[in-house]
Amino acid sequence: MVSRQHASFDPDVEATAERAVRMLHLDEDIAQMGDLLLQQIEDCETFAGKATEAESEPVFVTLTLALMNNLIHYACAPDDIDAAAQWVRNRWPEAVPTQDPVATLAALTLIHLVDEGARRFQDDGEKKKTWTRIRQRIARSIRPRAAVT
Amino acid sequence: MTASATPSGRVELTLRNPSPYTRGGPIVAPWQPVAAAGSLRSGTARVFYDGMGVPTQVDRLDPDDSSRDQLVFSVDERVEKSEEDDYRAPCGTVAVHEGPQAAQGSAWVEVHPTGVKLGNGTLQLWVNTSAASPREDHRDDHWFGGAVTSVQLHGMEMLDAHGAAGGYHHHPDIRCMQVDRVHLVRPPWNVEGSEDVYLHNRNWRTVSAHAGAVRATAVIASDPFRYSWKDTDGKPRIFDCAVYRAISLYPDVDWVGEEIWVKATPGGEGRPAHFWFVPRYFMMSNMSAYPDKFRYPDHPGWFVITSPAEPRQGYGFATDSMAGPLWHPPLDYPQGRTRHRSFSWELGATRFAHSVHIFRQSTTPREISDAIGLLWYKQVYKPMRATL
Repeated sequence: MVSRQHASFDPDVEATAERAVRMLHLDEDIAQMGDLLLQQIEDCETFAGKATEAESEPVFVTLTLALMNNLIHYACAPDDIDAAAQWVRNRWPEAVPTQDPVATLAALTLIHLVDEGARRFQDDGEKKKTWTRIRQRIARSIRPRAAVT
Repeated sequence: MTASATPSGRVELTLRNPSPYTRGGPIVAPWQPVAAAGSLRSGTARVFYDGMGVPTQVDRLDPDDSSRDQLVFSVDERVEKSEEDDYRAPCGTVAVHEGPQAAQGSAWVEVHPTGVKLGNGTLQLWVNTSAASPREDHRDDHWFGGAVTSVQLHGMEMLDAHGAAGGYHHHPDIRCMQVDRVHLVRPPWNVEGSEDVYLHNRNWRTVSAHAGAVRATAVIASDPFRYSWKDTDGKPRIFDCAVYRAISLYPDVDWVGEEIWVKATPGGEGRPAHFWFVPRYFMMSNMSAYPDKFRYPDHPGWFVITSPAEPRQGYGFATDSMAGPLWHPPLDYPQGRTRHRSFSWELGATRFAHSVHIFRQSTTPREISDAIGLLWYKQVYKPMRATL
């Protein structure tokens, strides 16, 4: 379960993201490759930080969603994707386009990983700053459904 | 045949271009008839086109079966077109001389104890001759016999391109171009019926390896198996058989050429025959969660499989032996989370199956279809020929 003590987003979004990741059977891959995945998200943040203020947010979101999209195609079986998409669609009927459920699931996977990173590095001064920035970027991107706490 | 009697050590061949446009590229001809006609005894040759030497090599695919020796040479894009869509019209001549092998091109081959590596500056393949996995941590997995377990295109692993794009570990079962079964048919009066010979769990061996001016070729053969059938006299005929595969890479291309045949030696000795057979291919490659497959329903010559997600990798297959339905997953593939990565297809009955496998990055179904369709036409359906 998500630790509410360090929750960054709307708990409903976090819980949905965590459940979607579990339904995708990505939790095992995240456990094995977590360090690499979090480092890749940090690299995206570094890259986005070099863009102009107006561009840095879309640059970050584009890069990280592409990463998550690839992760799903790398690790997930279509039956799991279909089941997770159906579950999210039932929960948020307007959120999941029927044409490409992977896009929505990639966003939820990113939310889950960002939350994971924020919790993992909460006691690491420099990294904490980075992950707070990342968390804020994502929170702004998914407004108005979630709000930074 | 238009034999051209020439002095000893030289013979002329007639070029045949079946297309209504000027063509060039590699040409493969049986070597033994050419050598006999020209009294070429050294086993090496140089081909001259309009008086200019062209890249040439002689490949002894199977040192124990000279009927499989091949003369291979490459000509520029200036072989005249045919008015008719066939091989009747002569489109030029080349002269074959006895001579030293020309310098090696950019395609190369390395023989290792458990496989063969081929490369050409664009593609690099590992052909696993051992039945065991090439990975140290999966040595007990014995289903990799004769499979290509790595295809690197410009350094990117194409069998798990999504893993390569993310920098993740590759799945241990990835492989392609694996002839995992051949089907042999007995005459109808044989009560035993037909027979499937499974090859994925057998060791293969490297028969020969050549790297010349035109191409690099590795020939591998399966572990021998015994096959018997009854002729019309009711007496059994027993053959020692093996499946042979010649896998070729030409310089700087993103496709692989292949020829497959079954060599059958009566009683294990004597002159080999080449049986009719039906090969089946298996591939386990990550082409995304939802691979796109395209072929024309009434065209058994080629098909493509592509990933709709970045890095939008694609695989195409073409053959002169009628590719059957593409099974995805194969009917006998076990349940599991990798079923969507498994593909198999059978060819039609043949004695020599000529095929092409193409690998692309950042492609579309349309683009790779164009490419494999053209390769199908040029390399396997209507290749240029050189005749005596």
